Amino acid sequence: MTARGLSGGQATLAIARLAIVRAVRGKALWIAAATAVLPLIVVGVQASLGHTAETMWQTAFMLTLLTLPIVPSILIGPSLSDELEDKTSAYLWSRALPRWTIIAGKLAGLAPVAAAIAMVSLGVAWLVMGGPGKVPVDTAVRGLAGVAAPALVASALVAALATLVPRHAVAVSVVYLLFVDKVVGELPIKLRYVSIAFGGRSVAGFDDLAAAPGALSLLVVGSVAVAIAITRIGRME
Amino acid sequence: MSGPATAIVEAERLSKWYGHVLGVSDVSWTLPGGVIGLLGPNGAGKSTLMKLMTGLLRPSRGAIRVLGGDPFADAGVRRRIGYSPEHEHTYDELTARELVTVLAHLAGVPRAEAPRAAVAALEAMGMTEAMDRRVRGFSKGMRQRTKLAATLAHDPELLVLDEPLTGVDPVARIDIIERIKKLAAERGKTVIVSSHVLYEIEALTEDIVVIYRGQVLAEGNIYEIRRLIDRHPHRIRVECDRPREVAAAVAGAEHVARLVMERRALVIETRDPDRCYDDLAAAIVERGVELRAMTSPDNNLGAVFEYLTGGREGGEA
Repeated sequence: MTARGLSGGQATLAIARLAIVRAVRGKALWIAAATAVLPLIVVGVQASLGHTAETMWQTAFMLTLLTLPIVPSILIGPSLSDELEDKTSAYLWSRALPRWTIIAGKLAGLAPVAAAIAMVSLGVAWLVMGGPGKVPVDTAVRGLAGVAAPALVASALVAALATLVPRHAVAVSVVYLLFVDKVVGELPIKLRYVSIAFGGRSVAGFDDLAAAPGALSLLVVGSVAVAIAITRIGRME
Repeated sequence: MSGPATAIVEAERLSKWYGHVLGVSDVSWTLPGGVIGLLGPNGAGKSTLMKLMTGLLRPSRGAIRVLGGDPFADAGVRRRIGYSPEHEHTYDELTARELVTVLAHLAGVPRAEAPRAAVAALEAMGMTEAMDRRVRGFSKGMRQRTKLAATLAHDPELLVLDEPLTGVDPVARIDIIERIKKLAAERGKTVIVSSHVLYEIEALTEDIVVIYRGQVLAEGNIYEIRRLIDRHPHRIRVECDRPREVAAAVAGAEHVARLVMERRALVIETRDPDRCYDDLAAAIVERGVELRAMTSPDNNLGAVFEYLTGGREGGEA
């Protein structure tokens, strides 16, 4: 047996696997998954009351977008902040790993889970309201992209916040995404492009918004968040 | 303890401070191989020094070289070090086997070989029976053994163990000490162990470095410092389900200077800690008492260090 050292990619994968196993065996994943039921319940009630497909689709999308502050916050926030607060990071930092792999690994493992939860939530709601017969497939696909992309970007933002304020990562993330981000996204000025919720609505094609600027703004916000997280963790002692 | 040509750790005017708080102050010394004990009261700078050795911290001033390289900047150096932190937090959702496997892999053991390395390390630490149980349900002793297994699974040259015996019951303590000594003797590892309890260090090695207020106060053979410490009463705190029974069992012993009962705990002051530990172990085992923790508050050690420094900061012993 020889310890030869891992490449950045190998280390990222190993940390991603570790993050997923811990999430599956902990409570966070199941709490996150439970929030995904909310759109289904509301759409089910609307269907029984005879609401139009357009209303139900809009409701399902907005409610899924509303769960975004919760899902990445409780999945990624504790995964990083507990590591820093409980000092288990010592196990990782004392090993021959580049520090950026800790952020990359957590995000590679858990951000797709957050996106999948959002997509399953909206996808099942779409089927409940009648599927392709009620809402065209291309609209549904844009809607799914419109919740998946913000889920990924919100995950990156939560990672950045967890490295900035590890002790209060979940609370700060939820408050920011639920209030600040949502409010900024409703502003009738260009500042709204920094809003993750606005980016999601653009990608999904709501309010006659073009997808490309929204997708680009999400990419920029996500990249900045990842850069902050990696810079912060590289300097931590 | 003058350093040979191939020093394991070399510190040169090494300082580390956190804001206005000093962790390590202007330390210059060389550590050779073997088993070396870092002794000092809580807050003396032992953990800071170990974190500097293992690359968790960057020096504020001066330099530290471990195995010939800079542990903070050089991942190749960290691959040759095994570090067991002071705290007992681990990834509690995992089994001991999974935990040690993933940490071995992250330390550079190829993924296919990591499970075998983990099992060997856990077996070496006496965790064969419990390796498929989740860490969450482990006692402090089992956690320490699992941490030690994770420390050595990637076969490092240098083991840095921060308070590996804290909170461990007497039987497990003896067992862990023997296993650490075996690692050094049979596998030729260099082991640096910290403790605030002289008697733990004494059981491991004669070579000690005394740290106090962030400085190396003394280094060399343990017997002189022991003689000084034995002049002061030594306190042992026993947390168990029936502290009064344990108190009654040891109360008559001549080495017991004072007994203080707390809620679900007993604090003993003794002038002969070796005998006191033996008597306590016998009393606990004979009566089937459920032991939760046995710790040694370090106020007495602090008093000795104050004595050694003559009340000055950083005096030479």
